[in-house]
Amino acid sequence: MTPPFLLAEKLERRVGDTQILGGIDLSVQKGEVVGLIGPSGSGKSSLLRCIAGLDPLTGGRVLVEGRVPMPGDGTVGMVFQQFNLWPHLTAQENVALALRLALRKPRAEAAERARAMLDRVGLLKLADRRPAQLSGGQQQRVAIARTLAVEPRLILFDEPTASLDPELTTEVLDVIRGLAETGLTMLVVSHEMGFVASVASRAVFLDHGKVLVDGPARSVFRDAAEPRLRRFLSTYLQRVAWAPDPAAAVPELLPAAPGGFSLLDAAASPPGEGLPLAVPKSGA
Amino acid sequence: MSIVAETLWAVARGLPLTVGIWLASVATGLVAGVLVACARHFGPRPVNALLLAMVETVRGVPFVVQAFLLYYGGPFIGLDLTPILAGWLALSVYAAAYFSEVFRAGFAAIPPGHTEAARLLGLDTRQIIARILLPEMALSVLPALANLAVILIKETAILSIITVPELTFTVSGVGSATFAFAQTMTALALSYWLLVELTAHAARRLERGIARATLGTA
Repeated sequence: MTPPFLLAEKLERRVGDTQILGGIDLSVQKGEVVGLIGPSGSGKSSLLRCIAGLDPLTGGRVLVEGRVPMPGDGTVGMVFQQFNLWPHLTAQENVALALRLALRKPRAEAAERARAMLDRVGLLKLADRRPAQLSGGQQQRVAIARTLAVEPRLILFDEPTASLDPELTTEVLDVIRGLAETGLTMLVVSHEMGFVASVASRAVFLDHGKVLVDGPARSVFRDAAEPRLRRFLSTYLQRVAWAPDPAAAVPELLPAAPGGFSLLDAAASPPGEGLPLAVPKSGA
Repeated sequence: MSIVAETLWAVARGLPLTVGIWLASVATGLVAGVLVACARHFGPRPVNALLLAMVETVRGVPFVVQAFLLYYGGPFIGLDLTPILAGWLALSVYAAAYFSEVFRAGFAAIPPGHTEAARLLGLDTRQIIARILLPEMALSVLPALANLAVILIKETAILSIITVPELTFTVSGVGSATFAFAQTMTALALSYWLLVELTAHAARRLERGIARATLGTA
């Protein structure tokens, strides 16, 4: 087996008396897309921030390609829930700034590359707009273009769609789905279970700063017996898997049926078919 | 020479120095204020504590006392300055303390994520400050900075007591010599008021310019 691309060993982070991460081991191969799921406060975002080097560890270590990554060394890129675009710069300037200042590219070359990146996320036409003149989904796509432009070898997505409505969520997820297909190594924290199920090759379930389940996405969603995960997934399904007809029966979808959650069968369906919710079409 | 002519002549003699020493102090104060705020925001904790103590000291002592201490006390510690140099230095330190607090608020108001994103993309601290944080806060700190600049115009009057031949010094000199205090003080008041109005007007124009540059709005 090749040495892992990303190796996190016994990651521990405490703030005062609070344990945020309680000894997390994670190894990721090149090209893998790992979905991190779990309840709020389970340590998903902290794990990403520690891998990126934004939050200090109190124990353990992170290696990417055998080396400890430092913020800004070009190893790790991150896409944030709050986009974090710089409001005084246009979309194109947001993407080009690091190319010019960090990678020392000439102004024209940086601008050209920035426009190519914006084109890749479908926003070339809005290159001269400022963040305030863009929708949330467009802002997040600019943020993705900005991260891609400096070619990090590992990209972390920290709840990239958590502040977007369902429509904008879809446009952002489509971009991320496209990236996954190009063989980029990515860690994606998301509450979009359907997305994680269909895009991630592997899913990791965290709770209270520990990894409870780690395995191929399909089996984590469908077969894992871990009770905390079952409870987590069932509340999710209760929330999103409503019946189209209020009179239609819902309950048979809710418990973990022996065959697993039908949600997961959509994992096998081709990308772009939307949220793979298997709500039975009750012949109403 | 009539009192009016004498007063006008005194204004003409004092005004350039008032404006000069004020502009110089605002310039040095802005630079020093940015540096202090950066050191407090990005520097290690002891640096922050030390600078906080210095800012508190400057803010806690009346400017007239600071000017006195620097000009008359300076020679005891080998700081033998001309009145104008002492006035410029005293006003710069005073300005820096207040300016630094405005910039500190500016730094604090920017979401940490804007800095984190920049750091991950490979920008260094100097680039983050110059290219992201300062332009981003420019519009929001400008009114507070302009307000301080206006206050500093009037603080230059205090430099008359350490014999800086600025506006208050020259005009009140006419008053003392002719006992026409009402006329000379009115002229003095009008002069400062005019300066303040011009400054406020310039600040509003600058605000619109910065809005255009950073928000893309007219």
